[in-house]
Amino acid sequence: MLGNTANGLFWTYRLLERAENMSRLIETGQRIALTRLNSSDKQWLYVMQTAAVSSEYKKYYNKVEKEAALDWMLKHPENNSSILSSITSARQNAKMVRHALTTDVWEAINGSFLDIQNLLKGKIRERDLSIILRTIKQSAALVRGATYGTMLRNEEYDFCRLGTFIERADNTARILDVKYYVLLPSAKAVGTSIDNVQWETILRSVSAYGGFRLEYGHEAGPSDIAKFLILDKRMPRSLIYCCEILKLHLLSLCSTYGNKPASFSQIMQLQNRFLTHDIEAIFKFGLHDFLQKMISLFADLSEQIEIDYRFYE
Amino acid sequence: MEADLVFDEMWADGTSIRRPYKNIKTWLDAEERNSLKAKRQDANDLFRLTGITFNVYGSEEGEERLIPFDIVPRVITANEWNKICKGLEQRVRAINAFLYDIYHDQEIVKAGVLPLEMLRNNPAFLLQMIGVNPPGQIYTHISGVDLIRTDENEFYVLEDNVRTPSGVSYMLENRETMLQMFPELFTKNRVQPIQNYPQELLYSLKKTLPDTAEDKPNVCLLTPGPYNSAYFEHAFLADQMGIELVQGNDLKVVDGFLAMRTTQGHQKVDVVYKRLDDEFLDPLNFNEKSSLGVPGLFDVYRKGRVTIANAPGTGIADDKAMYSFMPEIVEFYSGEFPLLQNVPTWRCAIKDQLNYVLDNIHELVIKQVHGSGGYGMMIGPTATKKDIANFKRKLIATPQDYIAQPTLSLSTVPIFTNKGFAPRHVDLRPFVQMSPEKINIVPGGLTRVAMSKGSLVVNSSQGGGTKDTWVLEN
Amino acid sequence: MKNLNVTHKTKYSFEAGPLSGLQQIKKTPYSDACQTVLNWSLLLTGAKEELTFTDSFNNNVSLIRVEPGTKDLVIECEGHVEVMDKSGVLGYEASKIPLWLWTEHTNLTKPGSGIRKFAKGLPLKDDIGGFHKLMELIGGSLDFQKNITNVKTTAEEAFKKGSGVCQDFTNIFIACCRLHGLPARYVSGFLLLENKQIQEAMHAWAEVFIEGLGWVGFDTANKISPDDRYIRVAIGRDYSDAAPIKGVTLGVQHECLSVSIMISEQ
Repeated sequence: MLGNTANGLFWTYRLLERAENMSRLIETGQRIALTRLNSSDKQWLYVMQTAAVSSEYKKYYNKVEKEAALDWMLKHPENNSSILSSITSARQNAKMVRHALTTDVWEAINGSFLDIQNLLKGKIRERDLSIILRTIKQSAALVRGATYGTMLRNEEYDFCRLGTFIERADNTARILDVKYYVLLPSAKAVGTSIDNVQWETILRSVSAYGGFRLEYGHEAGPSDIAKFLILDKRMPRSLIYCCEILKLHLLSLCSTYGNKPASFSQIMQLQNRFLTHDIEAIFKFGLHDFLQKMISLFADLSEQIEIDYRFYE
Repeated sequence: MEADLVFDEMWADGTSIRRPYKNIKTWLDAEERNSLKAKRQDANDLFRLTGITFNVYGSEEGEERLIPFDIVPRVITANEWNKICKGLEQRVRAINAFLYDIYHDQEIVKAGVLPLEMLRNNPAFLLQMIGVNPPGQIYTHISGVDLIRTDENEFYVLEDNVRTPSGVSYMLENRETMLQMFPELFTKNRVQPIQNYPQELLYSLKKTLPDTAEDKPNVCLLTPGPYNSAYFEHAFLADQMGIELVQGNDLKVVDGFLAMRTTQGHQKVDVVYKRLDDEFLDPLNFNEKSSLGVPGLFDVYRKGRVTIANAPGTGIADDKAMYSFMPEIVEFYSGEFPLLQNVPTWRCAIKDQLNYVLDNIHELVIKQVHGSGGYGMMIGPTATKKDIANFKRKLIATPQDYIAQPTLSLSTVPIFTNKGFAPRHVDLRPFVQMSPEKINIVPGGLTRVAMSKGSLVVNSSQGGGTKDTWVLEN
Repeated sequence: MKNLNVTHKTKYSFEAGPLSGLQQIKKTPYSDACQTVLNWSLLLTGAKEELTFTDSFNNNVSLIRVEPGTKDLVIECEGHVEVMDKSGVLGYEASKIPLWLWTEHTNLTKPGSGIRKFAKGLPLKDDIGGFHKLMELIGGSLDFQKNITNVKTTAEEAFKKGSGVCQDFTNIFIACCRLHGLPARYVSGFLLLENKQIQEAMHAWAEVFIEGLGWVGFDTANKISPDDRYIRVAIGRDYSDAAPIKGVTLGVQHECLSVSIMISEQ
């Protein structure tokens, strides 16, 4: 298998995950804007911060307005993390590795791209937003399903999954980090409750609002949210879950190729050193520092995978 | 061209249906127009979803277009096909022998059959290929020979494509689409299958290995990348053949061999199915500004350690000026008369012929010697006064760059239009595979069709469409 | 007949940082009617040999890869060649290059108005005397001077400048021959100089195909035909075909070159 093909598969799935995460963030922002009486356009700044696209936004706009923010996140040509940009690049990568994908997967990606491109043509009205976001989520589900159902469980599949979960781990860590202080144990002392808009935002951004309530009940506090998104192995977007899946596929590559490159020891270390403690230990370490550390470790891991599997010359 | 001179493949004499088309006619008569319209839309959606599009040159975003697909198949009988095959085999063997000769002793020039002027200052003549012995002595692993039909028994060769012939993916996908949309047609008609083309090509390439190849030879397809107009075809073929699709930066000369960068380091490559123009193949030996190629690839080739298909330098044989010598070339190397006719061709480089062309320009097609894709071409009978004046100027300024041919009456086959069925001009590009073992011709080919009424331009870059091509069983 | 001993050392230092890449080296002579290569070696420091092959002109070519991170590339050649004095007449040879190809102008030898005017009416045909006359005339209109021209200077440019080195003399000579429809080619090689122990560059001269004689050499810079002091190394239509080193990554501005060539008679 070509290093370049591994690269193409990895990035196809990273970018698809990115587009999906972005749409989930927009959906959260929209929901809060509609259901909270005191919400303002400022809410969108927070959404953009979480998506790590706010500083670029500020270069083009001097104030935060809903319409501009939506346009920025959906399709602004200068934003290369916009949904349109991610999905276009994902499809471009898929095109390059077309021969390594099954027909079902390729058609799912290509069809999704054509649909989304079409939906994002022209001016976006607020009433179109839900159909756009729904299409993106359904498209992502379709690609995931086609991948799950038709791809051979070989090295190619491993690289697809690595792309998905590196991106997802990064996304979850960022969502937590942007508002880490509302999750600190001290926050509870301030007397806020699970109804806190900030918490809702965090949970909805990872599609875990209902799941969290179900598992942790009404008594749960902010530190439980941190625990849920960092250390709960049942939660498919938690850091530990991402880490487990990454480990699984890196191990699978090790056995396919009969070697143990640096990326494998990196994921082992990452898990052993940072994800074997309880949440109190993490608070003690400092939640923000911890999340920053995780973001940089996942980035290092991504780089090491590129080197180990010769993505580039 | 007078309409009554045109041979229609369905209605030969205008009154009765030709036998091979009887079933098609019955089928079409039974179908509702609206249901056919819906089917046509389905076909387009299918092509769009599968990604069977071509990239438009010069558009930065890499705009993708569909090649119009027509649902009425083009039918060729087994007898007609056998005749075509014999002619193709003879022609392709001769072209391969010609290439060997041109890059070795040039006997054809010494014998006075081909004037030296045809090689002098000809950019398609690749000095670097002189003295190279390609594995198996094969230059033209794949040829796409464009044929036109003018009546019941006459087929002419319009063009030989032996550099990097393209279009085979459309041939395959057109059949696939027809199978999906009208499965009942294939139970009622005995159509020879074409689906094995990719496997046969791989087999053929593996019969042309360099001496250094080991047990499990490694074949890859070299593409210029996703922005190339034929990228879809490259990805499609690599997928179907089960070989790696590589770009220049995936390949490298390692320890004196060509190798591709895999996730586990470099792995030797034995055969390169090249879909990149020679000029860009190797910046060390050809265009030094090329970033698409592989430095040193040609040196490895010279050393006999890799097969390149088609061989570099084959362009000398499909040049439009060389075309006019093809009957002599076929005879020189095969010792037989050509089975497939050439279209009469005037070489404007020759004074008398130029004068004839200038005098009769209204009736002729003028073609640029090194042009392709229907660019740099003028069709006399339909050209405007301005075009004609323009081309006359060009002909006088650089006559050696042009040839002229009569406007042949390309046969027509019906297409389905919004207003019903209407005849349109077609040509046919069969694909010929060559290995030291045998010549293999897939029964069918790409039928290109000029979608607008009366038009003779079938090139996809100029709005031409395609049809499924059926070769019937005996 | 002379038995010549050659050592040729070239050092490239990459000031703009380390580079890597492939280079084609044409520094290995082959045996022919005038010379027998007794032994020859190519030693590389900072690079490795990928493969050797003969090109369309029958030149020996080594494809080398400059290893990543290399700051100093050293190419050392050493060998013994036995050379006969045949007054420059190499004669007929087996080659796949058709004679007509040697009559075609290249970018470097393409004549302009200056050379056209100069070559007009010269008595160039199958008489050797005509070519000696041509050497005299070129010598009369060109000063041998270094650093005025470079490897990319065309025959016409050098002619207009009125000065140049052996490459330029040779390119002009070739341009004149081709103007008269004669097959002519460029030879790069070594020359034994009695009064010079260390030379800084390889030498170049021309060969013309004369009916009845075959290929005959003419060293325009020295106005003589080659004798047993000349070792032929590579041929081509012009300098660029026969260049001792050719690669994709070595730009002239990035490298500092030091050459030492020692030729002695045994």
